[in-house]
Amino acid sequence: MGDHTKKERRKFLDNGLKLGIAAAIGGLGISKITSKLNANTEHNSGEKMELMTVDGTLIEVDSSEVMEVQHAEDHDQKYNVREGMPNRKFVMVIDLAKCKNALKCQQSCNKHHYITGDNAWLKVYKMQEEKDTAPYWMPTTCMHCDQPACVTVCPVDATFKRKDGLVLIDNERCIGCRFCMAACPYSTRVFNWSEPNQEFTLNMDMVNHQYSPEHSGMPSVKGTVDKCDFCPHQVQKNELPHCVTACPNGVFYFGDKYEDTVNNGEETVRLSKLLEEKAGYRLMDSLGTEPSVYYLPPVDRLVDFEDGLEEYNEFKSVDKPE
Amino acid sequence: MPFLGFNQPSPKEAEILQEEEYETLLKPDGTTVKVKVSTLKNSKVLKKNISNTSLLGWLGKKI
Repeated sequence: MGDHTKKERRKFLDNGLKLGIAAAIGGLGISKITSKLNANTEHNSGEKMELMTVDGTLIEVDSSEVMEVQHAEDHDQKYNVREGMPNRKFVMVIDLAKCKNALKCQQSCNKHHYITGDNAWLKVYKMQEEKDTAPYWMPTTCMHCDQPACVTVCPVDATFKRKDGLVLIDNERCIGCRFCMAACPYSTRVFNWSEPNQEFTLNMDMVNHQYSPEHSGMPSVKGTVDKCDFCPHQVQKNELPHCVTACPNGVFYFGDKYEDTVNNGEETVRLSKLLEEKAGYRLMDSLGTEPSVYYLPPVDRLVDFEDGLEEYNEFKSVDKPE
Repeated sequence: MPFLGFNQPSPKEAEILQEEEYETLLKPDGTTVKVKVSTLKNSKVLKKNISNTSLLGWLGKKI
């Protein structure tokens, strides 16, 4: 009986030891396998990422080694149409020496803003200071003044000045009082006396259109004031205004004053250098309106004035959009 | 034993991990990330001292 109990106990202990050793070996094996799996996911995802160090070296690291940085939320990122594009100051330079009244600027502007009749935002005038001085062509747009009289007089805050330099009109706010037209010393604003007589076809853009003061892809609104808007819809696409790209003679330069750079579609030049070298000036500068449009005087003209007479039309009407 | 924290890093190793130095690097989308300095040392160098033009090109900006 005593021997039998001893044998049973020995057998039990023997089995327990064997089981313990087997469990330890198995556990170690599983642990090794899982650690290997972890190592694979942590150290080698297989996906490579190009990064730039502060000293300008381009390196390639495994994307699993990269730790994302929590960026502070920028509350100013939401675009405000009344504030404009941040850190920009748009300017235009018009070189009178190059203009020969080809009127491509006006045609393009009319086409893209659905303008007809006398309401052209961009007009080209025949100028002659004296009888014995040579005549020249002078395109005019809204001057986008830094001290705009139109904004000061608007009773409903429909026309406003943005930080990026643009003066725009909110046609949904405009009550058609025309105070701004009276206040503007450059007479560039036009009034929509009637529904626009414009030929256009509705496209998907128009169907889903939500009005914005900087969106030009819609016809004008009867009973409100219109004017050149410096084509912010183009600028947002990193493109030049329609008049600049349409001009075959490189008359219009458009750019950013903060970057001191303007472009006429053919060349990019320093704004300060261009104005200094060609004696740039602003219209009625003494009024203190501080226009954003500069003119280069019509000296050393590159074109014959007579050529432009074929297109001259006294602004009784302007071309309908194509 | 394997199931009782055998595979965990020792306290000394954990301390080293916490003190690991990181460097801030630029991603091509213009955001920044952090990478361990030790990883950087072992990383593959694609190009050194790149020019401004190359940098803007890498960032996908028009010049």
